[in-house]
Amino acid sequence: MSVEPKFVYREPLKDVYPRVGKFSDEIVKCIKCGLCRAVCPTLIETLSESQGARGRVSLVEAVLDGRLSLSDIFDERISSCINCKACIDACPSGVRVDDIILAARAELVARGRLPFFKRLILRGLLKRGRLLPPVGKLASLFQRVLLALSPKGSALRLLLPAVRIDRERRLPVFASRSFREQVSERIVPEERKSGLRVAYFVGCSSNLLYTDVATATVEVLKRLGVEVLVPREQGCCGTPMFNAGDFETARDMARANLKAFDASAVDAVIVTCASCGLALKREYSAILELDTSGFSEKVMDASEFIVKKVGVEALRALPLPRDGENEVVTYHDPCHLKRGQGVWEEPRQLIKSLPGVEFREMPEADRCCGGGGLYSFTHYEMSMAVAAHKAEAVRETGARVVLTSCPSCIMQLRDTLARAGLDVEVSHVMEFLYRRLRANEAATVLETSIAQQRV
Amino acid sequence: MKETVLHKLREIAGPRSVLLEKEELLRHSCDATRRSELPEVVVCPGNVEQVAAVARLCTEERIPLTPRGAGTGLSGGSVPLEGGVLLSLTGLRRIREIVTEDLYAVVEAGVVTEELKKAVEISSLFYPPDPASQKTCTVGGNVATSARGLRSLKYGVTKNYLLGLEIVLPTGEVMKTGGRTVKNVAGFDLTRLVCGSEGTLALVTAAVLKLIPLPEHRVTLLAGFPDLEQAARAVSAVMSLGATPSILDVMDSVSVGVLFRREGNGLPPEAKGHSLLLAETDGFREAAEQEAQTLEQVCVDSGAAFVRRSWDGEEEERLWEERRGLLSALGKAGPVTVLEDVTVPGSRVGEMARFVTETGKRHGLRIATFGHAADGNLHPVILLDAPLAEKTPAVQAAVNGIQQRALSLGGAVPVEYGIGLERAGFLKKEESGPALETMRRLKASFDPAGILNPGKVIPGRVTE
Repeated sequence: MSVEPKFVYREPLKDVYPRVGKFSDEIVKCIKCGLCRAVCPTLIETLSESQGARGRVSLVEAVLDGRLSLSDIFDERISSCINCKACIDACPSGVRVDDIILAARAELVARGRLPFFKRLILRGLLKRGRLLPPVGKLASLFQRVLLALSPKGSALRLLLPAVRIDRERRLPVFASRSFREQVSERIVPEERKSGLRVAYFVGCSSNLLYTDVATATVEVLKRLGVEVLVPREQGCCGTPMFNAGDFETARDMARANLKAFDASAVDAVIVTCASCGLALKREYSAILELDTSGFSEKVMDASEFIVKKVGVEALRALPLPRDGENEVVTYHDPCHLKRGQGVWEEPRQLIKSLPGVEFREMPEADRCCGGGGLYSFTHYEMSMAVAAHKAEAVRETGARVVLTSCPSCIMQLRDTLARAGLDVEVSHVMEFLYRRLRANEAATVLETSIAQQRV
Repeated sequence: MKETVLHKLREIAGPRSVLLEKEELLRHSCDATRRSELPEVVVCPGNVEQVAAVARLCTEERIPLTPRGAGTGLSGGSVPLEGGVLLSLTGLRRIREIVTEDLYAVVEAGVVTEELKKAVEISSLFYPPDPASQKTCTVGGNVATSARGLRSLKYGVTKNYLLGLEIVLPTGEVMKTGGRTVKNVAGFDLTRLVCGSEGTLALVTAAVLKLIPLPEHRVTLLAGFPDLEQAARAVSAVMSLGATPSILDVMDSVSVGVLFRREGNGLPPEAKGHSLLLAETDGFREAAEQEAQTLEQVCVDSGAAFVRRSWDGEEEERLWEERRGLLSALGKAGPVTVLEDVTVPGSRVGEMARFVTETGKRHGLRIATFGHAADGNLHPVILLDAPLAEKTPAVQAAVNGIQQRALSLGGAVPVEYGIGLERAGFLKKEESGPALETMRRLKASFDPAGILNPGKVIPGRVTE
């Protein structure tokens, strides 16, 4: 065997591409063995080498050593990654493909390649959402006009012509009042029996679209005797921005959020969105290079908080329905919770601790649902193709309820399961907990009133 | 490439299956080695007829044609050395038939090896070849390289499971070789000639693969030794007992150290700092358990620091995942790795292991060694932390030393990953003049225009 250099070594163009240049050592770790081909959802759907993790890394590598320019196709291949992180789990060398791809997106944005549509959403709508609280109100007003025109109205549908997606798509409806407008900044339980206090990072989806998730979270914690703070000045976590490569806007969001939260005053900062949680826990420091010490360690998914800090016993001590037919449920792991934060046992523990609930694991529960936040709007076809596997997995369990821990997954699952003709409920774990708690409360109230009537 | 040719390619495969973008060419320019050469065009045919038409056109126009599966090869076999057409066969992905009563399957080239394994397991059948990249590599690539795997010790290599092939000759004829039965002796055994020829004689589009009943039970065993030589000697001891484990592998403490650098790796904590022997026995429950017990005793007698035979949940699977991902993990240990591939007679593998360790010390190189020690196969991987140029003399000396030693112990040099490009020059050392000349004539009779995967296996225009 000859030992002449097997490839021409080129000095990486770190000055030209400082954002990806920072990852040149990480890029070199990828030996192109291709084991990620087996798990990358976009490669599985397209069978296209350049639409897989290995392909994307080698394209970034080619740019960095001057063999390729930041072309439209490069842009497209880099944008088509859902950021599900399956490749990172599969990679024997532990290459941080996700960080490399986000850095490549930042290079694209630095050269003015942020599409108008995304700019509008990221820098217009979501960023200003924090400064202009009535954004939800405005959207809701728009929506009501739209509702009058179409029975399937959702303001998100306004995006449809811009991104050419299916008119049949099932989309959530903007709340008429955002969650943070509905609640006070400090919610003290009747009995502070847990002695715990948390600050709740609500996130855009739970604040504007799925307010039931946020309400449920606060109500469950209240019953567990946990004091909940909802800091006024919090905003979007910044994930949609840095995911699109707009690190600058994301940094603005992150700094504002870090300022809004005084982590030292609470036992935990809880989140109900896997992506928000990942941003707060890891990406603020790893991607945005901000100092988050003292803060990120306290960030916890709501289910993680209940299991680790409150304890499932306290939950089981609450009045939960114990009679009646078992409710069959399954759980979908959000990518950013399981692979992003290593949290997957806690939500299952919570679900399994509930009386009257039968838990059935679905095959490949941690396989990406294709949602990916804005991804399902910019890459709807791919998103739906990826989701199809999920529908099959859910069908196999025969479950009537699919639980998860991320609003983006909820949006995707509701749409895709309805299309697959599955009559199942899709809920956030916290919503489900609250529903179970309320069922018994309602029953108790009813029994009491009947008893009173008898008297 | 001429526009008329591109036009014809588009007519054959459809415009969407003919890729010219720089990004696509780049992505199809290499496999898991670091050699790379850009093709002029990538064609992704969807059926055999399209493959045949592309081949015919390439012969007519004298255009180099290089087939490619998942691109996980370790010999540069799918690198399009002379440009031309890169034929991506991942689109041929149908399992055409699984005939459970006659124990065979007819599978297209692009089917992923593990998908096939899973598909037949449903019927309690077993397709044994399990290359480390089985989750993503394709049957076509397995046939082209006669891929082996962890279980090849007991079950043999891809070649042993081939009943027949559907191939496309470079001149465009679709041809069937072999048949659907184990005994099939009409004429030359073209099936096994094409198998392992790495796409230099014909394009494999489908294979008829023999299946066997799935073993009822499997036992995994892990033993830790102070050094690789002892682990290798334990392997020889197992083999001399007449045991037939399905897997019997070793990895040295350097490899183990690299795996432990990854948080949450699948090795048990006691493995740290040891050279390991990894084994699996299979068969009927009692037989497999009894054999594992024998193995355990041999390991203890051979000086094992620990032996582990019981596992919880997915621990076993995670252990084998680590073993399968080892080579990729070693890639992380240094920006440049030089992979060697040597085989010596089983009884000499301890000696070979010691020589490799000493070689590393003598030349100041970090060498991680692993391999299927039971059949004398070792993969010493030289891990470089500096660009290769600085270390060339030391690496050259180490590689030559290891190869010479293997040959002098009665071994062979390129055994597993194929000759491909990385080792094309090597055939001259291994094969005598008449053998090489015969191979050249065979190549010419299959591929008169010399368009198929030029520069591979047989030293040709490029390497000479």
